[in-house]
Amino acid sequence: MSYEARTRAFKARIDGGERIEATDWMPDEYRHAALAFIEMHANSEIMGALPEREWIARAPSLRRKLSLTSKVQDEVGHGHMLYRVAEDLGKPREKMIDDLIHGRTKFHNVFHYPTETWGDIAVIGYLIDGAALVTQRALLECSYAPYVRVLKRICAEESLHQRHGEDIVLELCAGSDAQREMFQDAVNRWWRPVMHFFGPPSKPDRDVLLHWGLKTRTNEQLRQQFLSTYVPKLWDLGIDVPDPDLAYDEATGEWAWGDPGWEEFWRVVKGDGPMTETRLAWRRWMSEGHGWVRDTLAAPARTAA
Amino acid sequence: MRWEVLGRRTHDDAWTAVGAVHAPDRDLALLLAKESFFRHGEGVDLAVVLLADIHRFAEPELLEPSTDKSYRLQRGYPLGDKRRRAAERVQAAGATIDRPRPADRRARNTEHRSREAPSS
Repeated sequence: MSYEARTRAFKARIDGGERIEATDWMPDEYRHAALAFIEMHANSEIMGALPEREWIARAPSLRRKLSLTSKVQDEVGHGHMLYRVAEDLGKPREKMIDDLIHGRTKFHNVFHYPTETWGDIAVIGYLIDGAALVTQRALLECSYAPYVRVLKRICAEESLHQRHGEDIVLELCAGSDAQREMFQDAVNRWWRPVMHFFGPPSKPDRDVLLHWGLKTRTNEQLRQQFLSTYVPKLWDLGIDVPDPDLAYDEATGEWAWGDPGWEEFWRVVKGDGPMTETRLAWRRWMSEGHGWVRDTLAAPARTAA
Repeated sequence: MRWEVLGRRTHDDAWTAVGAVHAPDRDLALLLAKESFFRHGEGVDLAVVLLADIHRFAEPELLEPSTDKSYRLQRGYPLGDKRRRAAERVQAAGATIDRPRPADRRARNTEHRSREAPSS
């Protein structure tokens, strides 16, 4: 069978709802798209641990420090599981880490921004983990089976993180005027990056990830789902959303939203965000400083005489 | 030699232990496993592994947390009272924002307010 015929048969499998295993034949285009997508997800878990890590020492109670520490551990664990899945598609883990810390591959836009106050931790836990849950639950329909198996576990842990985020949000919103203002200020600073998170509206017929069933919903469908879930929750807490054009049209069932400045999105995901270099430098420093741990663990065990 | 038998019910499932067989070699183990556990459409995939190659964690009691680790569990974050306190705080501040929204996203604290209306 020719390459083109095999590719057509492969595409028919996906369109028929079948899932692909790592050991199945797959066209190069599918392999590259799946690898890049899962690698970017893994990178984002590893880099996403850093903004919260910066607040472990400053968290307001021992319980909050434990929660954040455990959450950071979960995120790094997700990164490991995802790199395992990605490496079966043909790129060694060491190379993926090396490309990440030297700025050759991307990670999600929201992890390029600073965390200025405890209100930012509330926003990350509630809105950013909420946005991640919307996209990751949709990915449970993905055509690549090993990714789906790992996502089931990731979604379970992310929903815990999201609950932890809501816990902090409710505490701030039920608190003093200063606490409420702290959260509102964080929402004001983070709203545009959160809108960027879903990406610009894309042309579905030109989206290679949709073509191969690696994604099954468009950026705009996911954004609409997020807005329907979270904007009413914020309003109920008396928290305003800093987008004067944001409005729900009861006739069409669609949210209208204002331009969040896509130039900034493109600049940030290409590696020029306010915290990109600081956080990558930290990762490089950790990677170099901890090389001896990897070497020791990889060496054959020496038994005591 | 004892072999553990693993199966997958559908292509989307992870491997699950389904039973065990005794056989002198791998091929016979696979045949016995197929005939013992997969005669009635139980799955789409089958594997065997020597029992001696499975290494069990020696201290399962260590899987129980030694200190309170409820912050790793959903139930470590009971939100009911906190939702109620936040709703009361927002009402007291007159800060609720009531704008058009999907019909199934009606304000939870609006319902709360209407429930309490008769007594106030």
